[in-house]
Amino acid sequence: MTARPVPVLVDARPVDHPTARHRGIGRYVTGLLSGLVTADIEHVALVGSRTEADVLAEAVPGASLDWWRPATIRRVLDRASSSSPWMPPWYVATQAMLHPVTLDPIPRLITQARFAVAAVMYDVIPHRYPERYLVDPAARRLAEVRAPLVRTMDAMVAISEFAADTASDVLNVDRDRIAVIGAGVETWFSPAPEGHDPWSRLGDVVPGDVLASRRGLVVAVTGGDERKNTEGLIRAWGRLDADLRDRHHLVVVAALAPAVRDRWTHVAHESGMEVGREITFTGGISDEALVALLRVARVAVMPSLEEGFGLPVLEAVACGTPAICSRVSSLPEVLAEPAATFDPHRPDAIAAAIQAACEDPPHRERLVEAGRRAAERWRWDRVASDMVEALHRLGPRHWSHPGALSRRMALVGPFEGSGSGIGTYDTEFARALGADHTGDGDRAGDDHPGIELDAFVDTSASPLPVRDTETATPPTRRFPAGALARSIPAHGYDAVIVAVGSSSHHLASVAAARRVMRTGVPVHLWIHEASLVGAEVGLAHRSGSEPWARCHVSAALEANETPQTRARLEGRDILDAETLHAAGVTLIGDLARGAASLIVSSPDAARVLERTLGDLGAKVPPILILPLAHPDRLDDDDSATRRVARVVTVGWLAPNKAPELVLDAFSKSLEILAAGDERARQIAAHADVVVVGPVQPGQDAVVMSQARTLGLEDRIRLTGRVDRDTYRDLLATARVAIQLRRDATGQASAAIADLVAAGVPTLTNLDVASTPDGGDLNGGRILVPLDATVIASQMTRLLLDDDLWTRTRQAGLAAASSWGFAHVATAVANWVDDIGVPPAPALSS
Amino acid sequence: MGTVKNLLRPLYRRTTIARVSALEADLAQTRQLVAEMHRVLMELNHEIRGGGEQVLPLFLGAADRLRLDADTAIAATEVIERQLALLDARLEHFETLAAGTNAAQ
Repeated sequence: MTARPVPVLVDARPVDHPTARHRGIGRYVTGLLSGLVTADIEHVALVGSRTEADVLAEAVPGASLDWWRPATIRRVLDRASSSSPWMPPWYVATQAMLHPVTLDPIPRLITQARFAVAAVMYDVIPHRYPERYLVDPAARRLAEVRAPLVRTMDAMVAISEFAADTASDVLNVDRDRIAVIGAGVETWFSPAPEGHDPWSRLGDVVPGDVLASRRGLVVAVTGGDERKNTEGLIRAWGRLDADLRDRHHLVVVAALAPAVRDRWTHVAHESGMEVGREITFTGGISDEALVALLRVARVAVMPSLEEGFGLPVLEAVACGTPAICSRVSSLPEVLAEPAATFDPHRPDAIAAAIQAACEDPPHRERLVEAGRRAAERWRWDRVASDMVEALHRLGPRHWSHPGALSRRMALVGPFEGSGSGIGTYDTEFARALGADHTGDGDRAGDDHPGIELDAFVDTSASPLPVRDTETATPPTRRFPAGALARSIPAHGYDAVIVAVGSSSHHLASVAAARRVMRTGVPVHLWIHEASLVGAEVGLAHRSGSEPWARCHVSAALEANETPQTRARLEGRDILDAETLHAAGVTLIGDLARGAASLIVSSPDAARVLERTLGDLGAKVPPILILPLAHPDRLDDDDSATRRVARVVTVGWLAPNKAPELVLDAFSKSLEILAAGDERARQIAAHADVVVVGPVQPGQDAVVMSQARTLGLEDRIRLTGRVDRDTYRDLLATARVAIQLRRDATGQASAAIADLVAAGVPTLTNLDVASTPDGGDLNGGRILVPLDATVIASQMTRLLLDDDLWTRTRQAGLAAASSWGFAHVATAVANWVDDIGVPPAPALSS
Repeated sequence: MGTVKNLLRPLYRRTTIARVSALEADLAQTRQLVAEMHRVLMELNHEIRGGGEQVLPLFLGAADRLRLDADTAIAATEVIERQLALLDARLEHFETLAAGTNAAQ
């Protein structure tokens, strides 16, 4: 077989499927890939996780593995597109017929690239016997969706003629587009090597007296299903001559539920036999024990009423053991020797076949020869070659032009409408990324594919459903954050950007980031605040169970913090966020270490992360320091006179925002102004403070109490949460803003970015640049310490000095216009491209 | 005729794809809620599990059926999305062929 120019793609995910990895389908995938390797057929085994890669690396050395990623599909697409005429590459959907039904058997990437699709058809047994295998109507409905999906495919490759015929009938698929390729057997199913005694491996498989006497074993690898007809076999065993039964022992290999074992035991008793003396039910056994059992067996028997293929027959003959099987469904195809088959519905016929296979030497010779032919026919390299030949012969069902795969990104985080200020920021960012990078907004088939952005909305601690949040860009699809790496696979994205902060509004984002990291898809953590304390403690409080909450936070401390930090918390309340902040706890290291890159807004935040990861002994991912974007200019009013004396502070009001310092400073400033000239006294008479934004429960009372003490109760207003228009109006009337933060970990403030863009000079203790290049007057901000006297002095200057106010304001507006969301979107897109995707999985981890 | 097709085609594409995406999002959210309920009951809270007694298996059964239904709906949207994409590819192919024929004439 010569190598073909374009590889065949094989979905290798079943090798680590929760239920299929140890069953036929997981093994079929490894077998098929081993056949492609042996036959030297160019292929790509697409894996979705490190575990899948590790399983395959061990099972199929030489397999060409690659990640399920847009980049992988793009590479194959580019290669195929460069050939003329265009011939779509084939994608082999190995889990399209898996039961229970899996989602995403044909990932969207494959459809968008317009590859030809072939499903491996194992069997349609659940569809044929729904009353037995699809008892729950909900499961039946789910299985029914498979038929229309299969009908969208270009071809099917079936493991037997019987599977092909029944699939064509049940699924209403054109039989001409189903090729039969069969199945193979693993190489470890082979005759015993010279000098090797397989009996020595059977100590815990067969009874001691059987082992000692080395009686002839009749082995049946079956299952609990009635379809396997094990009861028919037991009855047949009971009808054999007692002499033959004395010289032989029936070994039934099957993982058994207790109810099935009871039923079989009852059938044996009915037939006058005793389990353990004449029959053994082994339960599930290892591959090694199974091979040993087949090597010593006198004969293997498969009495099934229906199979898709009949692998146990092949495994037995591969070990050199004569085999007999039912004369129905696919089994006569596997063992193409009429003398080796029997009518499974008649126990007498089964018994006669067993007797002949055990005691008729010429007949045994014929069975051995038939087995030899079957083992030669059903080899994985032949299966793989037959598959590729068949796909080449069948070709795609319809011709089309090559597809196009745009860069695909997911943005996870709160969006507009969330209680988190990051929500508005994410919405603006998504809008900018869409506007700048999505071409004309046309998606699949776009001639100029740009970034296709999906938003995964975190509504944690927010009453809003996903549909009521605002992501603004028409091409952006919206999903709940909890859907990512669950019902929406992560492997469809080139990169996933997860915006996190410290509050409970980020719980689902953090969980999504962890899930995506397990898939190996690059996660770029946009860390707006280098701490998850608020998120983790918030989750603990929401659990409703204090013991669980303590366990949760303890586990988070264990995973993230050094023993020294944990020691500082001895005897303290670990469910109190302020206590954790004060102890220098961040709880973010364990998440950050798994990221492909980190995006932060200041060098201080980068240093916090470097220190945190260093404490954990973890490698620090690449860090991008990206100042927060400014929104579009919020106000065009350049008049200094309209903004006479209003001081604002914006955002979530909590003790860590130091509201008492704001009031203290305001009070001191009024004193300075009152002692000044007429204009100063006028300003003092009209000055007020407006606190814009939601307030932590109880904090309003604290603030107003202080205001009363200072005699300022008529000068202070708390607006609570406001809508966007009111927000803009309030910013437009402000002369000065004060934005303070205790326990800062280098985070920037979206509120400050808003204020600067609104032309409001801002006093802040957050030493964070406005733009990547910095700038005069730090872009509309004036740095102050957490000291009421200094703040009062600066506030008074800005209230009085129109020149200073105008210069500061203009510097802010200049910074805002030079560093907006479009700039940030471009920077992030370039950064993500530069980081790239992890290389293809190596053959060993 | 060609003009009508040119007007309708983008409209058809945008409308249908947007509807499918919206449906998919709603279904994914439903599934997430169920999965979350399942996780809470199975992993988080021993008190609830202990107190649930006979009611818990019934609830879990109902939750699993709901999960299956959500999976069915998601699987259906996967099929519809693929059918639409294939239809789109065929339309494009025919248009290209037609354009080639017109150019030749």
